[in-house]
Amino acid sequence: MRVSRLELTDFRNYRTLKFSPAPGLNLVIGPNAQGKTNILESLYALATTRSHRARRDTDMVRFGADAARIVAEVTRENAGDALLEMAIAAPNGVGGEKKLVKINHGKQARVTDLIGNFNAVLFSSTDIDIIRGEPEERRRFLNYEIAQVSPRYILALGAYKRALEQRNRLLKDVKYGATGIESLDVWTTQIIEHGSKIIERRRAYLDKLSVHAAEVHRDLTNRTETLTLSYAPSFPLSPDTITAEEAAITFKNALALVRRDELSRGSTLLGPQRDDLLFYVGTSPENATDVKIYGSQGQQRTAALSLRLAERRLIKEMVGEEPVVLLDDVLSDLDETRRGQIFALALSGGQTFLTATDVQSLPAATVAEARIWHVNAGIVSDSEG
Amino acid sequence: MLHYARPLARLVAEFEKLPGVGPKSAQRLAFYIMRLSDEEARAFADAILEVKAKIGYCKVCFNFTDQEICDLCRDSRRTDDLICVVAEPRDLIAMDKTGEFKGKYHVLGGVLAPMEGIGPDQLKIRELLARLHAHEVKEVILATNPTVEGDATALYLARLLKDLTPRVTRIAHGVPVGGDLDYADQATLIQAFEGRREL
Repeated sequence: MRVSRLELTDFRNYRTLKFSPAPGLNLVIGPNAQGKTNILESLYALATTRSHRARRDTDMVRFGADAARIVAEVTRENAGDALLEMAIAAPNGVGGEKKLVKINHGKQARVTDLIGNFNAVLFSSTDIDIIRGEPEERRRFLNYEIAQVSPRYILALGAYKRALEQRNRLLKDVKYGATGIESLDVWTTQIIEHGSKIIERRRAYLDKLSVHAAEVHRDLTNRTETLTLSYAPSFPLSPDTITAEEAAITFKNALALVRRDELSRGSTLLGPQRDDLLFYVGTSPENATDVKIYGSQGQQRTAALSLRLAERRLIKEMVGEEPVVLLDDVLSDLDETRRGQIFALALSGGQTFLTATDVQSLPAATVAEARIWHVNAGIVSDSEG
Repeated sequence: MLHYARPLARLVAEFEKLPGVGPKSAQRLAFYIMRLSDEEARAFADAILEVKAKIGYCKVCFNFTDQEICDLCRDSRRTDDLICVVAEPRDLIAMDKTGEFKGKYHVLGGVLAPMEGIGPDQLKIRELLARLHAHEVKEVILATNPTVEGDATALYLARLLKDLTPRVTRIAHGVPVGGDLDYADQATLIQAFEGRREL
């Protein structure tokens, strides 16, 4: 799949931007802070309905504007062409809707209806934080990437978050004697119902992703290293726990064991909000160790790269089409070998966007194959070579 | 910056307090009021005051009424055997428009929501139990919204009512009748799929 036309209005530093990317490699060139990443951010938002870097969606609206708009013409091999639109209202803007989504000019009932129309994988220099950062980074990775292929996951996530907030508040109120305990059980049932769906999806996704990650990682390291992904839920889950119903039973039993602790601390202690993801690297699966703790920075970077490459393959497997590849500022921290791997990826077939500060630092062979776009102060200009 | 004359500013400010009304709509409504004749404006103001003075809660079902017991509760054509439990009076109106339900209603006055300080004691649950103790009821239908809070409330009531009435049911949710699957949003379709039943 590819984007044949992109229009941004009042998006970040762009008042208006219209351009028609090439089917293959697009080099987005310009000095820092001119709007290169913003272009990639808009495409990723069309795939996930959210910004990959803003804490609030409203950060995507140009300062002083009422709303930001992303319009993209998407060409797909097996689903036909589609015109996708997303509008994001400024904070305190007029009218109730914060985000609005249209597909082929038809307004959708829910923003999540956009999901599944367009897929993108974003490689970023901050991907290493997924490997070495806090568990929150890894849950964020899971949430974004599973959401992109599963609207049901987004629904479960929203309902779970809401039920968890209510339950936490109740536990706190009970702890301080502000209210009775009699409605705790129904909130427990609610977090089990929605939480077990999240667990089911995370496990299924990771089972598939780890197969690809292992293969990709072997290739990246010339068959010297293995990478194993392991789901680490907040309570022990046996390997044959597959369905949400099975996960619900385990979740329920685990919660029963910590009930007294939860009441004395006034907070929910188990559930998907405490899940983690472990990465093991070694010369063989038998001697592999946790790369977050024992890996060198180089190993951590390679693991992060493997993770994104695996994601790309998994989307292709699930959707049946190559997703658009977004390479955001990925070159600066890499050594020669990994830079070479990135350039090979950039030219590997599908539509790719690569940001860089100048063309000179790129291999001539890569530049020769690419369409070059210069970005300066929110203006994008076309140039041939 | 230009300011409204004080009485106008006051009216605009009052409209802005209404749900779903922003600054621009408030201004439009206030300007509309200014164009009304004195009688029309007075009728509007009277309607607001009359609602406040005369409308209270029905002693039985807690729907809005201008009497001690509301018309629905006094309607002898309706059976006392069935009680449909809803969160808000507007839900009762929506349910009753169908004309299908011939039983009585019970309005909870909200749903369980610890974050808003709403627990079982803040809802008309004790009053519902009292009704079940006073009359034999064959079925209680739980018609709260299919949200996290609505589901939690229905579940809480179901457990509480289990021994007091032979049948506790929950309304179904899913695809709109007569609509194309094509037009239903994904959330609704997913829920309809999960709630599928055998034919």
